[in-house]
This record gives sequence, C-alpha cells and structure tokens, in this order.
Amino acid sequence: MDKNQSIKVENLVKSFGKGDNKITVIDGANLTLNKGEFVALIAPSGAGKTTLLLMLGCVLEPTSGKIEIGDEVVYDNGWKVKDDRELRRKKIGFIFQAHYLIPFLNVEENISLLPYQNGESSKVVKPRVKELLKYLGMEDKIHSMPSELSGGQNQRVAIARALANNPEIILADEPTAALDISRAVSVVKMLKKITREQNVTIIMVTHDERLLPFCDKILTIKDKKIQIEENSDEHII
Amino acid sequence: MINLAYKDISHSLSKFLITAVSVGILLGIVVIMIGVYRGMIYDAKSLINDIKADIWVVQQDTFGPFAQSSRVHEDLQNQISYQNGIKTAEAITFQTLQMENRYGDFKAMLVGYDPFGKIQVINKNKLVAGRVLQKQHYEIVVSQKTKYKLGEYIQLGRDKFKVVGITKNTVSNGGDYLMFVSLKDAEVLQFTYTNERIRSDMSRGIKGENPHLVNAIIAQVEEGYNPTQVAKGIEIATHKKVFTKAEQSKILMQKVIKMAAKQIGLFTVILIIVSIVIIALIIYTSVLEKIKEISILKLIGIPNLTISMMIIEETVVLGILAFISGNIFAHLIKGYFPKRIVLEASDSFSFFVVILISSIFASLFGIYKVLKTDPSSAIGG
Repeated sequence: MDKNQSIKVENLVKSFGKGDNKITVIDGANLTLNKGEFVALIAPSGAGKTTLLLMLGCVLEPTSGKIEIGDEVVYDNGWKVKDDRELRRKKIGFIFQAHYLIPFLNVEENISLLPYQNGESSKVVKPRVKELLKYLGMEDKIHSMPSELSGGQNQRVAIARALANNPEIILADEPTAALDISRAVSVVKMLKKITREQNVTIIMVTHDERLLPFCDKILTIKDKKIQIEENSDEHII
Repeated sequence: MINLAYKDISHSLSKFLITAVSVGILLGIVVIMIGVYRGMIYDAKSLINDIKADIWVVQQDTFGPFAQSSRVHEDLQNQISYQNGIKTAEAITFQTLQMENRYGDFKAMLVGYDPFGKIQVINKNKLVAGRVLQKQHYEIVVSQKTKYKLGEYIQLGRDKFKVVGITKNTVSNGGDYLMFVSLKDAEVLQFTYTNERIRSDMSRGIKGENPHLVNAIIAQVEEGYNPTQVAKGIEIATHKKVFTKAEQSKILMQKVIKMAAKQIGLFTVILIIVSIVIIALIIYTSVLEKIKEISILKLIGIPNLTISMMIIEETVVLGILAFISGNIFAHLIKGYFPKRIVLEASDSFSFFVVILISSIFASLFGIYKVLKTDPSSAIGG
C-alpha cells in the first residue's frame, strides 16, 4: 500500500433495482488518488456523479468492488468498518452546494462539532478552530451566527468545518454553485491551497468548466467507468 | 461537547417559550380537572367530617341521607340514647333549597340540628364571622359563598331568619352551599305547606300535622366502645340501618360520587392523551423543519444517539416548561370556578412524572424521523 495514497477504488460497481428493473450506474470503476491532489469530477446529469461521491463518502453501499481510504480498506465486497459514521467523522470532510451550516450553532461551534464528537478536548479544539479561521481569513467571525454571514463567508466556514477533523479526503459537491464566478474562483483557489498546505485530497464535483484549470486531475464518468485526465493547463497559485 | 438541544432552544427561545406556554395552558386544564376531582372528594367528605358523630342511624334498607331518601322518627333519638355504648344521640335533617338573593341564585343544603345538643354540627374552625346557633328559632348560619351578610334577614317559607354566623368552605357532597337552622325550624320548613295545599290535604282526609320525621339520628359512642359493635347492636334493637362514620364516608365515595369521579377521570385521561399527541406533533414538526440539518449531521458523521438526544432533551424541556406554566395557569384560574378546586402537591408530582414519561414517548415520533432520514439527501439539489 502506497503511503502517499489517499483513496483507491478497484472494480467498483453500483446497481439499483433487481431483475428486469436493474440499472447499473457505475460498472467496474477504478481510481487512485494521492494525498494533496485537487481533483474535479465532471459528468452530465444522471451519469452517476452523486452516486460515486456517496460511495466514496461511505454513505452509499456499493454493489461490489473495493474502496481504500488512506491506509484502511473500508469496503471489499462488504463494509469492513463497523461504524461508517465514525469513519466519516475521522477521515472524510464534506462541502455542499449551499453552505449547510447548522443555523443554531455559531461559527466556532459549527467547526468544532466534529472534533468534539471525536472525543477531542477543548484545549485541542479551540486553538485548532482559531487556526483554521485565521487560515481562511475569518478569525473575526468566530462568534457570528451563519445568518449574519455572506454566502462566501459561510462557504469558507463550511470549508473550515470539513478540515476540522484533519480528514484524508474532502468531498465537495458543487461548492461554488451558489457563488458568482469571482467568488467561485476565490473558493477554488482556496481549496487548491488547502490541498497543498494541508496535504488533503479534494474531489470537487462541478459543472463549471471555467474552474477546471485549477485542478490537478479531471475525472469523468463515461460508459459507467471513471476516466482520469491529468490537467496540463494547471493554474499556478 | 456542544449541547445541541440547548443551542437549538436558545436560538429560537421566544418561539419555544410560546409553544411551551400554549401546551402549558392545555396541561393547566388537566391540572384543573384533577383539582375538580379532588374538590369533589373534599366536598363529599367535608360535611361528614365536620359533624362529630360516630354513627348514623338511618331508614332501614337505605344508604343514608347522602345517598338516598331516609326518614326516621325524631323520637328515635331517645331510644338510641339508651343503647349500650351511646354517649349522646341527636336528630338531624337535610333539605335542598333553590335560593335567590340580590347576588344571584344558588342551590343550598339546609341542615337542621339541635342548637343545644352536644354533638358539633357546625365546624367552629370554619366559622369566619358571628357565632353558631344559640336560639331554637329564626337564626341561621350561612356559607360565605351565599354572599349573605351578618345581621341580614333571609325569608325561608313563612319566616324570616337572621344571619348570625358565616362559615367558609362548607358545602354538601353535591357542592351546594350549606345553611344551618335549628331542628324545630327545619321541621317547620319541611312540613308546613301553603294554605291551598293544606285545604287540598284536608279534603282528602289528610291531617296537616308535623309528623316529626327527620333524615337521620346521629350519635356519639362512649369512650372504650367500638362504633362498629355499637352500630350492630342498634341495628338489631331498632330495625334501622346503622353506619359508622367510616362506612358513611365510604358510601359517599363509592356510590354517590363514583359516576362523577369516573366521568372526570375519563375526561382527564383523554385530555392527557390529547396533550401527549400535541407535544408529539410539535416535536415531529420541529424535526421536519430541521430535516436538512439532520441529514447533514448524519452525513458528516454525527451519531444517531447524539441527534436523538437533542430531540429527547428538547421534548423533555418542553414538557417541563409546559408543566410549570400549566400549574401557574391552573393556580391563577382556580378561584374563578364555582365549585371547589383542590390542587394537591402529590397530584402535581404524579402528573409531572406522567408528563415526563409522556414527553419521552412523544419524542419517539421525532426520533423515528431522525432514524429514517437519509444522510445522502444532503448531497445533490
């Protein structure tokens, strides 16, 4: 097992329904990504992007195949982890289309929710949250409620939340969909910076081709299989 | 660790408080219903407890004046007085009156007793003004709720009675206000008819004389005698039905107010069920409002237990706040009810336990929704 590997998928299959109604969405997909890579996932609607994302996030059980996250085999023709939520809490970060912060928690509480759930003490969590907010330029908003922040600021808090548990991978489901192009570019640049500086792999679903040049690799789903394309036109930050 | 329930409640505190107070008003009605039941029991026992008699001698094959019509001859008291173990015996009458004064109309129970007798009929601890009867005629002691004033005259039948005493918390087992007159006056009131009635009776050969009938003979037992044994002896000697005070009280509870108590009990149970359903609906609706947040919490890895605890804690806090506001509401409005409402701490505690358990039960609907929420619904549109 490569120590630099963050996620590895082998012969992944996902079908829905049975008998004549059986539909296979992903059929024998293979993928290996290294730590610190910023990867775009693009495909037409209905091609299986969300299905793939949910399987990589250990939310949806594949029909067959193998998934490794970091140095742990999480699925091999059956779940290999007892508690999929604990795995998500400790190894996976999520960023959504909208920020989806918990409205009744302030910025600090939204970010510290997962570390506290992982059993970390406030001595560890509080400095980490401050550090993340400073890193994302939001340190002055630590006690703000989500309703008091702009869309872009909320999305940055959501990114901080995804980073708070030091994940192996971050799955970002169209994180810039609700933002204008200048803010979208700003967020994508930030995500790329995170991959480099935090040594985390980010898989970002997007429909916006203007953001592709910022990514290291571009994944597409074609004929129910994953195709990987190295990005030659990478933007330099 | 972050307490999600506390954070959620704090975030929408005013909405939560309004909901709790609204449910509280409903629970307050339940508290009042329990108070009505307790008040009914209190009232039922009030008169029997006030009259310091050990045994009640009533018409044969009846359950006594509180349960059904009972007539015995007044002079039976002499026969009872000579029975072994009897300290003293006196006659007593009960008569229901529909009264009307300048404050409105009301039902009253007129109690006739011997003002010079040895058995206490009016509880002196409940006398708030004036005195007990001291004359054989034309004096009356009334319940405070009749609103008569001391020294005021009341027309009863053909005579006027002067109010010489006012009592508090004196009602019959049916909740009617008590008024006390002498036995002689009570008999006159019961058996003196209008001139037309007297003429009508005479034409039928009926003599319009006072038959000297009373409703019961009450007696006190000598020290060292067992009231039950004395009662048995009197039953054999007089061919009357004799109840001890405890038996008379039991009859009131089991026969007289049994149906009313059942009615109120059933109504209370229905109200409690309605309250639980409303709490469950409120929690279920609040879970539905938070369904997106719940799916996100589940997706990012927050365990079901943590989310379910948030629902349970919120429901329990809602139940506790509703219980407190319900009790405050009940205490504020209880004085406006025409009949006695008795709010007891033990009932409140039992009701609190019921509400606590019910709240947890009600939260199960919300928890079911949490468990059923698909975390994958957080991803995509």
